[in-house]
Amino acid sequence: MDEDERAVLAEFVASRAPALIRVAYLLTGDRSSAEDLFQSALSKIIPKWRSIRHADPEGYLRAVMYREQVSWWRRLRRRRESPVGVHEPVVADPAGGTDLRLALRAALWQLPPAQRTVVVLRYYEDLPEAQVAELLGCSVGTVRSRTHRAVTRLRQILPDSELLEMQR
Amino acid sequence: MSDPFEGLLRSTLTDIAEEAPTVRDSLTRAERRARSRRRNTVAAGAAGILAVLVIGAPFAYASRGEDTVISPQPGTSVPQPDRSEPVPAPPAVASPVPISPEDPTRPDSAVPAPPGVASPVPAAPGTPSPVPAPPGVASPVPADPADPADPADPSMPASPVPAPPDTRSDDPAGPPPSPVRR
Repeated sequence: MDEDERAVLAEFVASRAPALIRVAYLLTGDRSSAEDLFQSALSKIIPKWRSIRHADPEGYLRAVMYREQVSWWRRLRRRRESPVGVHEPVVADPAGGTDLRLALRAALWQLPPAQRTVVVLRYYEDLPEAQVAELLGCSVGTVRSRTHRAVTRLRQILPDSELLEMQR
Repeated sequence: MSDPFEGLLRSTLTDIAEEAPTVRDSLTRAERRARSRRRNTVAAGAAGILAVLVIGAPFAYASRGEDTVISPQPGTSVPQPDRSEPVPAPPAVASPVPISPEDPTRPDSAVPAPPGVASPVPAAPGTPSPVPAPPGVASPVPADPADPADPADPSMPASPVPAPPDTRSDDPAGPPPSPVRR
């Protein structure tokens, strides 16, 4: 990679890294894991930068991040170093909706990586099901079923789902 | 899926995303990691090739050894002629079972060899028999009377075809049919 291409790559990383890091943090739920996921995906696109720089490098990098998150090797590594405090139970707080948000956050980390990735893509990135399926390399039916299972699981984990209905 | 729950999910995800860390100098570390990945890939490939060679070499050597017998002493590995093997007759000795060009009706009659030459064993016509017979044994197949190599001549070698002891080859009435098969 010559200096010109490296300058373009540096500019791309500087401009898009914050948004990509946010997505990585949502996918992993841990700061160090998010940084590791982002750098791992970036290291995979550096050898191919010459061919993808004129296409859609951000989409390519996002797809690498999503697939890396649900990959088999990363799942093994994640099993070895589980983040602390993720599975702590959240008790009900009568002060307001803060407890519900905390409970939802804790419930999100308990989802499997594939289901959490679908939730992030559907409700944070606001991507349609077809585009999510294309990014993850699976069918639309798989995306639909994973979304349904993830929401059902979140409802089961949340302590007071009915309380949310009352607040609305 | 209800809309309030979906809204809560979206707002929670946005809140979580705001807590994301800020990464600096990520490109340099990513480049270092890319170089490390490339180096590991090359090393793993080389290790795989080396493993294939180390594992496959004994098998290849063993399969080659099945075809040829390896002598423990390479200097003495030249095969020596076996004593039991037939020794070809010297060039000066005529073939023991020739086909006489002068007598086509008796192609099996043997031309006696000079005295002292090994007597051949009955064999197919045209094939020299290497096993010598003791001199002086009568030939069961009489030679052509017109042939100068008369078997009655004690100086001539015996016929290559073995015959009964009482059979002489100097019968003027004619020789019996040769037992040598064509």
